[in-house]
Amino acid sequence: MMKIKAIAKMKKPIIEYNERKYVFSIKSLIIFAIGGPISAYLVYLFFDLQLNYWLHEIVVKQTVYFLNLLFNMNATIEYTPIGKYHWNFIVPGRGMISFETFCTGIQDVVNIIRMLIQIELYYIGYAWNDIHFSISAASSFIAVIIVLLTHRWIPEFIISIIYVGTLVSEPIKLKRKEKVKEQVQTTNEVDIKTMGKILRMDRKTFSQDMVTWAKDYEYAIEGEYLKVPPEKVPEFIKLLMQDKPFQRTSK
Amino acid sequence: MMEQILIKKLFIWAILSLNLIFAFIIGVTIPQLETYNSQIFGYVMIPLLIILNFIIVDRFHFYIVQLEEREDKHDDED
Repeated sequence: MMKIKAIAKMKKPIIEYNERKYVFSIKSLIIFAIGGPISAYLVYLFFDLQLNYWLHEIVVKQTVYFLNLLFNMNATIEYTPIGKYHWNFIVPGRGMISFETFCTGIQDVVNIIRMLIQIELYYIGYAWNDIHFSISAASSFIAVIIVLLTHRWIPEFIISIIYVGTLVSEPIKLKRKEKVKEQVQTTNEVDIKTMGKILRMDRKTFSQDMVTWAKDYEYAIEGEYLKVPPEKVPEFIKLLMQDKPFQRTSK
Repeated sequence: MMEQILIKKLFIWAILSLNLIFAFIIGVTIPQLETYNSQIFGYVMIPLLIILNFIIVDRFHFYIVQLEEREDKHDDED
């Protein structure tokens, strides 16, 4: 709770994408994170009501139409208004496949194609258990990929996830900066690994980058520590506490 | 400029037509359904069509505001 309050008080980070600046309120992020899954589940429950079985009928009939059109299967449907679900596929030579709300595709955009592939494979002899779970899982992955591809037109979804990451990491970064500030003020030196993290240096080229950076700012490196000359401490702290640490606007 | 307006007009026209086609398909489908209480299909889909209609009108309004802003900017420059 304290952390959420600290995040709420914090200066909002800005994410730039495609020459646009994105800022999200904490309230909208929480509503989206909680409301998204809850509303998806409520939509599922709504279509699972018996009065909405018209959706089952439409999906079953469309699937059978395409099965017969593409594979010449002579598949049919069966309506038995008893039990939990009422609509079934009749696959010639293989028997019946019952249809349930999860098969309608309210959770999936590639649903009819998935069912066509599954039922055709079942028709030509594959065991239902072998193809049902694997193809359903694959179609769910395809749905996720489609959502990721929509990033070009609806960047807000992915950016809001990145934004949450930034909101969480920002207090950690601030704490790290405060720690370095205190160290430099008291001892005039700071651990170079911490400085590497603040400057977001690449681990592979860290040593080389640190030497170049220290030379550029006229600081010295002694073993694992960066030595800041006493007269340069105020400037060091000023540059450290910037939004983007040690980024010179002009020199 | 004129070409852009024409494309936007055609876009609005196309999605409004799509909305009417949806309404027509729903009307044609309901009597064909065998499920008990199949008229619920209409009760669920018509509000969704109304929402779609609102989105189209909202987009239309957005284009008009955009055009007015552009014209104002153009007048100021003159």
